[in-house]
Amino acid sequence: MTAPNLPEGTSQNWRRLVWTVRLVLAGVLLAAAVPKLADPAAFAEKLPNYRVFPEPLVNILAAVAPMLELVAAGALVTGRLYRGGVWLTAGLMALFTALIASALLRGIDLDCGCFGALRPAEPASAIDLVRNVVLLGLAALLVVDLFKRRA
Amino acid sequence: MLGLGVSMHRDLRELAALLAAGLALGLGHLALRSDLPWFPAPAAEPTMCGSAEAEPAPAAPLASPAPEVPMSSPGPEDVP
Repeated sequence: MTAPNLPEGTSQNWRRLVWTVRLVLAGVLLAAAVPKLADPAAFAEKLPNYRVFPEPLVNILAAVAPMLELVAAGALVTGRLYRGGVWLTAGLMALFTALIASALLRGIDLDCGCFGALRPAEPASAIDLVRNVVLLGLAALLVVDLFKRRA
Repeated sequence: MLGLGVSMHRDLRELAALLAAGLALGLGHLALRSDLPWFPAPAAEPTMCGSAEAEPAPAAPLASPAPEVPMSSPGPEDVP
């Protein structure tokens, strides 16, 4: 595993925190990606319920989104293309959070399909939104760390 | 300031590389899974009875209209 060089003065605790967050986010992304890749048809069936994706894009999104999650998880764990991986993770988390919030605001009763068949199908609720906001916060912490490395 | 610009440029380059990799892998995965239906099947319309309404059978092609049978000319019994 490649750990990018940190400037002097960065505390050991901060480094430990960043590594923990990297591993947690990578684990969540992997847990989300693998079941969707194993059964893309099941994930594709859930996407139209969001009522935001044009039909011709549904299958492409169902195949590409889990691959992006997989690629982001790989970048976070291995440190290869780490900076891009942090931005990709933050972008994915922001997108997923916005999609769930939008569905809840519009009163759409849907199973978010976030973890494929790993989680039993349940209507998306405020708990899913809170979970995603927390994950988005963790991704934001990694973005802050990127800026600290620049300093 | 210059360092920040260089870092942002590097971040964008790495992000673009990861997006391209994810897109290529996803499209490759999609190409390998030719068993996937291209679109999700449209949901069947429920009826009042709760079951999906069966598709109506295609109508038989219309035959060419038969020539109307000419009315017979009035017989001797019809003539007062």
